[in-house]
Amino acid sequence: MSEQRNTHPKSLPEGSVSTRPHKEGGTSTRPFPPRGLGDGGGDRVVLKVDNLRIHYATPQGDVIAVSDISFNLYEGETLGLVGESGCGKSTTAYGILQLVQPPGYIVHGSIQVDGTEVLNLEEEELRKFRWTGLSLIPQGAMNSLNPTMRVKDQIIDVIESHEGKQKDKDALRERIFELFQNVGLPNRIYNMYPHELSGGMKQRVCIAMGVALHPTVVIADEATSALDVVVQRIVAQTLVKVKDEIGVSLIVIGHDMGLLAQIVDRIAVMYAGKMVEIAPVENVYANPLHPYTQLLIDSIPSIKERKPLKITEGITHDPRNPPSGCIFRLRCPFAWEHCAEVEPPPIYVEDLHEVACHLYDEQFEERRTNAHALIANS
Amino acid sequence: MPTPLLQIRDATKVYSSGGFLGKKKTVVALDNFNLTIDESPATITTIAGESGSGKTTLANLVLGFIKLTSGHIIFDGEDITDMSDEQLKVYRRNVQAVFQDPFGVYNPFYRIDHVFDLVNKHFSLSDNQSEYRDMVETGLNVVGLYGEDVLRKYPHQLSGGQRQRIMMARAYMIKPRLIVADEPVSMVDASLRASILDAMLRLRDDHNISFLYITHDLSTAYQIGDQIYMLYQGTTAERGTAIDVIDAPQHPYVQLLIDSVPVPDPTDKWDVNISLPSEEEMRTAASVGCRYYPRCPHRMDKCLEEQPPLFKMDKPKHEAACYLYEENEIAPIEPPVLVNRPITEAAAPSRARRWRGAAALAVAVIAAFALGFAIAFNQQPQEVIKEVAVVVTATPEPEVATPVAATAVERALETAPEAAVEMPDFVLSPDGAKDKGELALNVVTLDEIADGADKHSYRFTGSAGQAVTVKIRTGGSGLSGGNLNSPYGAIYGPDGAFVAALGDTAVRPRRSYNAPLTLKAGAYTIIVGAAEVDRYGLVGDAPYQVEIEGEEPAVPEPTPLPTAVAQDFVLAPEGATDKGELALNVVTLDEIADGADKHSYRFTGSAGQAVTVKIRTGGSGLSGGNLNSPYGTIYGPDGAFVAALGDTAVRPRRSYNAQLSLKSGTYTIIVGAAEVDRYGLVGDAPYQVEIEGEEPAPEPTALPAPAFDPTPLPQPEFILSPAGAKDKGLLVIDVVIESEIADAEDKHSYRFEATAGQNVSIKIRTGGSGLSGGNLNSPYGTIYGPDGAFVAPLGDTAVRPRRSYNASLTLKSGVYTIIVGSAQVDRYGLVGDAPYQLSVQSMGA
Repeated sequence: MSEQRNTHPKSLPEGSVSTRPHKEGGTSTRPFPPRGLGDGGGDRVVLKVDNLRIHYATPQGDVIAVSDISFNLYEGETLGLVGESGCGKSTTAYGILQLVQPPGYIVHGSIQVDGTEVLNLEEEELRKFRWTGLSLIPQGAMNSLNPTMRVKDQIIDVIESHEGKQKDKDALRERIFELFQNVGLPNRIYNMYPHELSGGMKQRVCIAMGVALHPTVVIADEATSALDVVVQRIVAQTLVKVKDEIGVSLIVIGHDMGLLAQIVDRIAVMYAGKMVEIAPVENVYANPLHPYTQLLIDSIPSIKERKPLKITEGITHDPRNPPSGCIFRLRCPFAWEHCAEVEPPPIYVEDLHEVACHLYDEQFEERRTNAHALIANS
Repeated sequence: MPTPLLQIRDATKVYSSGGFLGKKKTVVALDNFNLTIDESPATITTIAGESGSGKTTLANLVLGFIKLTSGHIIFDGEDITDMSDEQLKVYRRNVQAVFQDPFGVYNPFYRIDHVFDLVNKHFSLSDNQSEYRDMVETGLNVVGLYGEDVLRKYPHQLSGGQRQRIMMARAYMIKPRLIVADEPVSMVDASLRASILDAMLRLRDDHNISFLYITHDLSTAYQIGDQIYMLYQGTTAERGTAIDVIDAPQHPYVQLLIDSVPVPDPTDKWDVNISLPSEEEMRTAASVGCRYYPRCPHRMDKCLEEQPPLFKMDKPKHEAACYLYEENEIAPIEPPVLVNRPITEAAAPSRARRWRGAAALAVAVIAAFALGFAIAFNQQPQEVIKEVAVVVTATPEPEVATPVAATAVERALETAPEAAVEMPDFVLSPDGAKDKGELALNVVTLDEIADGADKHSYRFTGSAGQAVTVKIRTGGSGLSGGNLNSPYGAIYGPDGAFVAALGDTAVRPRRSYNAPLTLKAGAYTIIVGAAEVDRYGLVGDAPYQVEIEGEEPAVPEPTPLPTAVAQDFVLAPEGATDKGELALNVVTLDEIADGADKHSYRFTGSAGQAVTVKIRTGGSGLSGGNLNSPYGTIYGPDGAFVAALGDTAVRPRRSYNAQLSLKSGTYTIIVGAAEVDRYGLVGDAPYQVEIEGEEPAPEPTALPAPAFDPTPLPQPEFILSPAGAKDKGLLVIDVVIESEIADAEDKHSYRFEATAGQNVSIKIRTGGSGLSGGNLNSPYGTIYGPDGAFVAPLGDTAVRPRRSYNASLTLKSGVYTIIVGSAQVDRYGLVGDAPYQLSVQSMGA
């Protein structure tokens, strides 16, 4: 990895500063990056998050949980949202779903799913829109099942609450069996209670419920983080398979960089409520640009080679009073005065790859060269 | 063979539920589990497996939260179920825990220092507040934290990594020998995990604390683990060094597990969708045979018959429980090493001893049977033993008898215990080594190996029975600039034979290595060099420290007087006529009138004074030819018997001398007829008594003789010389000076006047947003005394730059100088250009 960085900096495209193609237009005609698992995908934007800001009110002032983030989700795409706990990735998900609970509130922003502005929906419209337009596989999903209801009743509940009472019980059962097949569950669990299932099976029931009404966008919030590696692999693969079969777009929120490398197409890296880098997954791992992304990639423990531990200190700033300029400058090994004065804008580096760091501003090319030389030497 | 730190033998834990009215359900959480953690060097032993594999049960068993259903957990040679309350207290100190949830263990209403206050209260670490503060600071430094950064904060103000490291610091303060770390990093963000793992390595290498590291995360186990045990449903599927097992897993389950660890490389994706385990609900179904049978792609009929034992793999200590390796040798279960308890406590026979007894009996019975069978049927004895084992297993009380009998059989099957000394993985020969002179006790010597061919030779002299620890240290920031080179050494005895290795070829280089030795008298040699065994290829070119830690040998005691003879008679002081004080070197003549006559003399001893108390009688000059033995008894200042004057030898002696090394105080000598003389000639004997010796030295005894030099301060990793420093004038006590180092060449010099005995704290501070705009530059300084000699450093070359550094000093009278500058040792390359604050604060006299 360091060798690849060695060859950095790459030449930036002309006029690379502050061009944000997807901020201006509703749709982008950019070719979609090469796919990992699965196929298909397109360049149609199905979810457009623009300038979303979410605060949590506290007696000492508002905590900025999500700070003016913007991104697009393309049709058929799997987008990974990573960052440390408290960086706002789950809040972003809940914001998209309009599920932010007080004292949290959305300050401003726009969330469009297939052209529908979610923030403008009335309560009843919103209720209908969940599960059909947007659905969530929540964190610790296996504990979100109702322990007193059979698996079938919980899924029927989801379907009937949106499509009304189903007359044809046989068709309904067939439909549920089809869902089971999609997520690799045996039909015999139809009549079981959640406690009779293993963690991986419960997680897959949640996936089945999430995709039951063929939503446009599914958000999986740490859907596999409580599972053992073997089960985690099965659930992750199920998620991708279902996504491809049913044709939804997926946002996977997680902190396991190894798992995300296996299943997502693009990765958005968040730090302290800001999105610091968004890029195709291959770019993020081979050529991370933002110092925080580099740190994340460096700190992935490997089972292929032993390497000296890379120790970093997590200096947490007060989320009510974020530092001026760049949010990451307190931890950044390359920060200089400019970083304290000016907040770095997202810089469009190459196709679908954006980074919010002054090092990639053309006028600081010398600093970038020095910084990468320092990385290469260490 | 040293007693291993922790031995787990045949440990079984069964949870049962129901059973009152309904059908009783049992779950075997741990099934005949065996594990050994060696005493030294400290290691990190990983217990890995999926949830439900029994790893947390194991942690709870070792921590004593739950009790074993059967089997043994032996700590330091003592079965924990047999421990007395007093021993359990010690055990709980020695075994500490760090848990998974870095949020749940803190009370959110208290600041961090409360955690340490509780430890101090509970374990009574120190009554002295400043000593206690130092202990906390030291503990925090060990895990890479600083008191000023964390102690006054609330838990929510710290990151998960910091909180976990505080738990490690808390554990460290109690100075345990084993820390059970149950998933310590799984709830901490990836970017902060390395700091926790590093803290574990530091505790292992620098403080000899072993870890039982319980995790499902194989990648961290791979990075820091020494040994690994892969559990599957309560049994060991595979074990070995973490590298061997993870690089080349042998058991089908471990193969699947390792294949499923996501590779953080989008170009290297899972190639196949593994089959969904429809057998998940069969988890506890396999009660006989291999637990993995329902999921195993290689299952055979044999796997259903019996649980596979651990078979040996190619690499040493690498074992897998799978019949695929049936042709390999079965790994023996080492018999547990137990320490005998003193007989005085034998009120009730301990279970361990009963168990040992049972085992021994079983061996005896089996051996006898075996012999009988062998004679009768002319069979191979080993086969017979196996058959007998089956018979024994089938006897009543199978739950108890089985493990004991099985162990006994295994022991019986083993040939004579291996007498050969386990050879280390490497030995450095003394040939070609540069002589670096004699090592003094407790003095750290710093040197550097130039390259792979460079070897250094040190000598030191041992006394018989002297216990020392030979320490070698390297790596870390101060020494090798961050490269983790293992230091290697070999110790040779007075006879030139190899005694012990310094270092090992553990998978990961260690920063330090200790060899505890009990010496013989004579000259020992230590060879230090690169052993060329490092997996990282980083050997050579490493600075190192070597030290012999230990007590000076005790002053050679004169061979003790044959006390057995002395106790043949004792004259009690009761009824003795006081004959006054005896002066040194003056002969007093008197006469015992009859068998009832007793004389009492007094004399004053000084501490350490050597005298000879002499008694003489008989001979022509004294008693006209009768050879009466003189008898006397000497009592010490505390009234206790010290020595006899005379013995009950067959023939009466004419004189008797007692050599004594005195304590301070008044001694009493009683002279009389001991009524033990075979000739019946006691009584009526004239005698002479004399204390022969030197006057005690005029020095007051209060001054303790310096047994050895106080341990010198370890050489600081940097010293800023006063040469070329800009004079910044006189410092006023308690006034903070603010200045800035312009570049690496810039040095500032400060002076302050001190009075004798004054206590001050010299503080330097830098970094932090207010001073350096966020860069964490370490402040560096050096303090020189009135005589111009180096006194103390301000700053260190710890892994992480400090924002501040305090040096507490007791001053002599005169002018001290402080030099501030950049020490050019910073790992971050951020030295120079740092604003700093400096102050001398009075702490009273």
